[in-house]
Amino acid sequence: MGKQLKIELQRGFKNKKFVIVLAIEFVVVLIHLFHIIFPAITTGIPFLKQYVGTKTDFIPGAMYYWIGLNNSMERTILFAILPILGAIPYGSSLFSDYSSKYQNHFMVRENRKNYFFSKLITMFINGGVIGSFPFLLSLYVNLLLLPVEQTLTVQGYFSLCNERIIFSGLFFSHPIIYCFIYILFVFIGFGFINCICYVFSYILSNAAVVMISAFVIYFSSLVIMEFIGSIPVAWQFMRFNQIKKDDVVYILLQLALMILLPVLIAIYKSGKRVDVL
Amino acid sequence: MKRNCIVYFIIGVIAILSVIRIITINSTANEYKLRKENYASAEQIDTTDFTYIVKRFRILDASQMETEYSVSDNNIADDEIYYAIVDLEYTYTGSEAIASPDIIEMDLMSDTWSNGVNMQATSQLNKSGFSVERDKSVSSTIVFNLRKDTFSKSGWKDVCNRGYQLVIMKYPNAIIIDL
Repeated sequence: MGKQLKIELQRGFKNKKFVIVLAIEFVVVLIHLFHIIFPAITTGIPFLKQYVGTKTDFIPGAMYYWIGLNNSMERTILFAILPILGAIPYGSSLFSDYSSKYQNHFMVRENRKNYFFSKLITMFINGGVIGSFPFLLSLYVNLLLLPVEQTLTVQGYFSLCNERIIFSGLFFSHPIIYCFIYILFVFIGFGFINCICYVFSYILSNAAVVMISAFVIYFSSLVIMEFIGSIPVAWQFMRFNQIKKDDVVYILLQLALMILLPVLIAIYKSGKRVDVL
Repeated sequence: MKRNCIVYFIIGVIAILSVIRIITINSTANEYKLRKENYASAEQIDTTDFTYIVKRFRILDASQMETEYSVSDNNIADDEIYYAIVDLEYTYTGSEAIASPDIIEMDLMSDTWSNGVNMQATSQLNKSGFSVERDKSVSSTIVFNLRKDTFSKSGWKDVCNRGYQLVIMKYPNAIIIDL
């Protein structure tokens, strides 16, 4: 398993597409920096500092401008494109191996189970790393440029000033730990979303379509749910700071479904005896 | 091997410099720090222009509110709202002849739940206004809504028994009174 997983991880991470995807995310964070943070540092924050003790309720700091919490255009773009970006380097790898018979090379040398599960684990890690990278980068940049502000619930800090939101208490007591939990959730969430490609590798017949299948599910579930109910779907709940305590069960069920289907397919494919030569 | 060592060395240097930068920037930024001042209920709180004392804190349901103060809200069902009532006495100690405390800036807080003053009900209960002459004291009744839709399910079950805090000032000194 280890040897096969190492090969797959190298295929997933040591390729040009992965570097290009990280570069795109880097650009989005850079735009956020120039669009939101630099104007704040040069104009907004000095202006607010003039009114400390009179009209200013707080000085926004690293947390306020972090791309995970700041309701900016860049954040919206990021959450919209991450499922596509996550699938570009490795999302269609299983399909390509399968359709080009490349997987037969592994089948004759390695255990089938090792191959299919290595694929799945790599798909998860690849999606997770791509999903969490911009949030980690933005947090790092913000911490270098701005101090971490201390806040109270009453200071109107986004949706977090609401006890219906999960971990809102942690944000006010330990904001950095909260950010890392946020990033961990994004890693797991986008890792699972990337695994949707695993399922569609056996349903669809085009690598590009397999690659965008995770995004199609991600977006269409939002459109469908707009009509039939109020359960938050991935498009909404990936914004960790908007998850309500009452919705946690629905969210866990959706995440479980996202990973259960590819795991079942991997088990089925591992056990199926097929003549590969 | 040599190339790897150089890469690890550069990463190590960047990490150390980043940590130093983060510690420096946070240790010098006083404007970003909140100086919390916690007071007990019935304790006298001295601010620049006013002194405050919380005389009484109660939570009333909709029917009690209507009976006692003739205040009701037709936009919400009776079982989905409670009212937090704070009887606050304040004395003006400033230099002007007459002044009013910033009632609208006050908030009620309970862990991560918070709400501002219900100004409509508060004005109804304090028809003479909030103005006070220098060195004189005035008592006002301040109303906060406790709406079901702003609490979590478990939080709402405990709405009458949980601890509340009155926030008189938010920043740079946060003056918080445990009720």
